[in-house]
Amino acid sequence: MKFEKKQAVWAYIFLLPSLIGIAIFYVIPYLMCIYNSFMGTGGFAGFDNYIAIFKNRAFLYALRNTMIFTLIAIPSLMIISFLIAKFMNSFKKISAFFRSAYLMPIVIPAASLIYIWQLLFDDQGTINGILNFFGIDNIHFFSSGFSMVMIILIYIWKNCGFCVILFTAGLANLPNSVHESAHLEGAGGFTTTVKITLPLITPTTFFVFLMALINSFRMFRESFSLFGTYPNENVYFLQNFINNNYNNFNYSQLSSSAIVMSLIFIGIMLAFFMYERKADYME
Amino acid sequence: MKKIKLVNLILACFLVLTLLFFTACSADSNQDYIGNNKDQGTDTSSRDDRVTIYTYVDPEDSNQHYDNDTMFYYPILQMAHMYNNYCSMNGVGERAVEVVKFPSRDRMIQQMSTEIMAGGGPDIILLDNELPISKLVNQGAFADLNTFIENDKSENRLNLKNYNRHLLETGVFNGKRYIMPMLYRPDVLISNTKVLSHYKVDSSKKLTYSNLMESLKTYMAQDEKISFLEGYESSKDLLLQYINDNVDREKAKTDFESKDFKQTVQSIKKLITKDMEGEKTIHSVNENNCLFEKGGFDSEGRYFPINYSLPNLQALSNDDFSIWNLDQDLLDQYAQEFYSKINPDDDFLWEDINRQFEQFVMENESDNFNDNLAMTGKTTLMDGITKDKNSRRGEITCGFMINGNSSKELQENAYDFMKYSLGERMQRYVTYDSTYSTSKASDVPNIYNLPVNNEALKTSYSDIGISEKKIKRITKNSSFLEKIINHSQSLNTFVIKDGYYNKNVIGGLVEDFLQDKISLDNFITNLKSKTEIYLYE
Repeated sequence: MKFEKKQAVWAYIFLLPSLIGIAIFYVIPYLMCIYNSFMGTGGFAGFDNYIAIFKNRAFLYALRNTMIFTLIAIPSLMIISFLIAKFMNSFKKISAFFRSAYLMPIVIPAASLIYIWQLLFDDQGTINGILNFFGIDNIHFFSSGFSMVMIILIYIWKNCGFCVILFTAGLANLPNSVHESAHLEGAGGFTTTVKITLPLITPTTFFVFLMALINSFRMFRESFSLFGTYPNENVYFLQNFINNNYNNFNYSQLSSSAIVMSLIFIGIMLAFFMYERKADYME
Repeated sequence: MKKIKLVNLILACFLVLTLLFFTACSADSNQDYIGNNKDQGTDTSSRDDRVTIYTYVDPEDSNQHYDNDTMFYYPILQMAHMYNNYCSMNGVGERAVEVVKFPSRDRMIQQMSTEIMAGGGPDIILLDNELPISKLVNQGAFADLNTFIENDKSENRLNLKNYNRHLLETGVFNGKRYIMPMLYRPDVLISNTKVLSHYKVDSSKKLTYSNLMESLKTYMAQDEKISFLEGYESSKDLLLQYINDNVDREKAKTDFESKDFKQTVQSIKKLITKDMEGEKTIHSVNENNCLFEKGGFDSEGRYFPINYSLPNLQALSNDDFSIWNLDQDLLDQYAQEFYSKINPDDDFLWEDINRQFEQFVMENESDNFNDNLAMTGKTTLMDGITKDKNSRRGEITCGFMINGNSSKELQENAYDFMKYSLGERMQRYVTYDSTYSTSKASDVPNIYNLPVNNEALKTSYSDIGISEKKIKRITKNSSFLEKIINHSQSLNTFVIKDGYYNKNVIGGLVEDFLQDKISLDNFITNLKSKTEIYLYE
């Protein structure tokens, strides 16, 4: 056997335990989920379950909120963390401290953070206290449209530090010569950032986006702890819908909504992946 | 090349074996169960061939099904044991049922949920407050019991005339019978004639949500520390009940934004706030520190609903004279006075002498008894508060459903068990006989409810040791005991409490509202939003 082939076999052997795990815990359940999504109480139901969930108002609420959250929170997180990273990059001496400090929100357990958020956003909490001091009426963060704002703020606060670290690493690897040339050519700060920095850090941006997307799923933990099983309609996400359908024993609805959700996110990721391949200027 | 093929083959075999290993593990993962209740003589078939029931048990005693939340004791294990013995004696051991015990309700529901998802689950599902019953019914999770009832040509087929018609209709959805009620409790407010007259509450007038404040005008105006109900839990239940009464589950609509709803919610909150002032105090109608009673508290201050066992109802009847309720010292004095006159050499029957003694005590004590009764007031009852003035409500606390995923044969066997459980003998047993067979270690009171089988209720009088003569006297005197039994037989509306909705969907919100953490408008907005999501789901 040739050396390369021998190596390939060994590679497969080492990968096997992980592949088996993925097959058992991800691939097979996903296939079962697809199967269940086409089944009803009377047997094969075709696309009935999919049609039913798109007629279900709770699902539509959940889909709307999830899309709003994804479309607002992820870009906001990426823009804010990129700007902070860019700012930090110009202060190399203090950045080491901030690099550690920014990771703190990710390290602190969610359960203990919830208490702080409650103190902050409660009707009698700090934020409303400050608003009242300036003569502004209470904002019901837990029971109004501001709930979504609150969840987005928590998401950005929690993940910003990690994304800043990633962007900082990406920015640090950029060759100075390109920026210097641009500067000599008369390009301003904004033009350099948009036309040079951003295209050059596309792989980092893609990775940050991927992490931001994954972490957006994890926000259900915070949302669930703050608002419970049945939140108000502004922060009712697809994860709530799926979770509640599990409790309600409605598996065909659960499966079809899970498949729809996965397809949406796979679609978003594929689109970004294709963009990343096209726009990889580093190569 | 051959070597590569060999390695690939080995890898493929390894993958298949691993998958089989995991599959085998999941098929026999009973280690989370406390145990399976199999009876001797009937345990000849495998679990797949036997009808299964899931239940959770008292952590202190794995032989008792016990609901720590409602303190409702349900002798399902004993029922299964009795039924299995019956099967064994009649040579139909294959129809025996197997009870799978879980350490907690959450664990049981989680397991059941996963199994039903995989197309399995227990064959008999016990009606439980935490199960979203209406949703399960809509999904067709249960078998239609009418099919079994109609196809049953046996001698001991279920005769629906033996049961309250309104009670049975509760289990019927769109013409299909999915739930068979087993036990229920009437919605009554227990009070005292003296307390009611003091607060000018007309006991003959039906309390509805709309006339509630008008009827309780005098009570609301007083400053004395007397609560509306005996504790916060009961009062909160009243608000939850009112909210539930304004939810149309079939049409997925609510009536939360109407003016009436807002006003009534405010009124109920006023009543509850009054109760919350004395939250730590144990209120009792007998001590004249609450207007109505729906439950009580155990020695550790934990709330429990009224126990509808006949002995307990009898104990509540203070208008029924009994020598055994007298002070022991006084009874001893009477005994000394009466029995000293008896010559033991005379020819007589002790039974007659004892009857004469009872008569003697009654003659001497009747004046005292009547004076005392006039002073303390009689225990009485009023209909529970409803929306409609003609409605007399009861709540189904226990029932059975047959899993739609089960095989036809198992469904038929499950129906046999259900039929046996609804029979007079078993109904009598689950409500009264078991009172004496309980062996619970803790001192927490067991709560019993009324049987759905009318014959069982009637014959249970004698089962608890009330003599025929006394039954006549009870009937003649129209005591509280008789009133409550008559009332329970005249109920025309039955509900299945949606504990899942009350606890998981709106529980926190109601609590926040009662604790004044949120305003009425905010409460209504959220209540509507949460409820609609729940209904649409």
